[in-house]
Amino acid sequence: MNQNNDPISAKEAESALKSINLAKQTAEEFVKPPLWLNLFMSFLLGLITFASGLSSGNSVWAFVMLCSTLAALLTFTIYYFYLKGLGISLRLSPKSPGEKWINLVSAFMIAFVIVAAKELYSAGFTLAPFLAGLINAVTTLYLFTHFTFAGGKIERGKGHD
Amino acid sequence: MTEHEFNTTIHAPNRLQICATLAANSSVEFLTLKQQLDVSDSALSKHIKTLEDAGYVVVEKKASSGRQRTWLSLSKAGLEAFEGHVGALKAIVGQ
Repeated sequence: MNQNNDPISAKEAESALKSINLAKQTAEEFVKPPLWLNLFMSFLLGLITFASGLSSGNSVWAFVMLCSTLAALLTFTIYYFYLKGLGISLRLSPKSPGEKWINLVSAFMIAFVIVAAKELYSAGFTLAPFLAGLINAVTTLYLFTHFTFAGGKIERGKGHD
Repeated sequence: MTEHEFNTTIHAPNRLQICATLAANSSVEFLTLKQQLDVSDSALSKHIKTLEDAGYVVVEKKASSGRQRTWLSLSKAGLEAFEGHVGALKAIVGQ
């Protein structure tokens, strides 16, 4: 391995970091879903949450929940293979502790909202499924806009000075 | 290997970008990487060969829809070396 204590100047190191950030941003932009797909996936997750809240003892909403879950999975699968056709295999598994933390927290938060909507609706708070659906839709839109599928933060602007 | 190690194999400008692009994805096809980095076939092949010889990049040839596609990915050693190199650069800059 090649290394020494003072291999390059701070200016050269800064330039190299900018080059890395630019390549990373280009790669992230390439795989970032378009806005319409982000909105559609967020709508589907909101619908899953809303239908789940209303599904206790109601087979119609249970069916809506099942259909929206299948639609979300199908949409993601189609997008995954679309990118594969373009020559990019998406990284889905988190590698860094930060990525693992984001995945864990977002999954827990979304699941908590789904369960809470169901419980609150059963307790008589009829607006709960609607509010929960809205919360999960906005959360999903935020996550898809600001994070990669593996949970990495999408950084903007650091490579364009 | 130390945590933040400056790596001259990775530090060449095109190789830095190759590693950054591969680190962001599971794997990338040769042609896609070539378009993203805007380099020639021969230049990219040369850099990939250097990285492959160092054990940093894994090259897989897969047949798909009647044509051969070359997929590139960072090995575990490659990812560690790249992250170590980025850490070394940040240490030099003082971040």
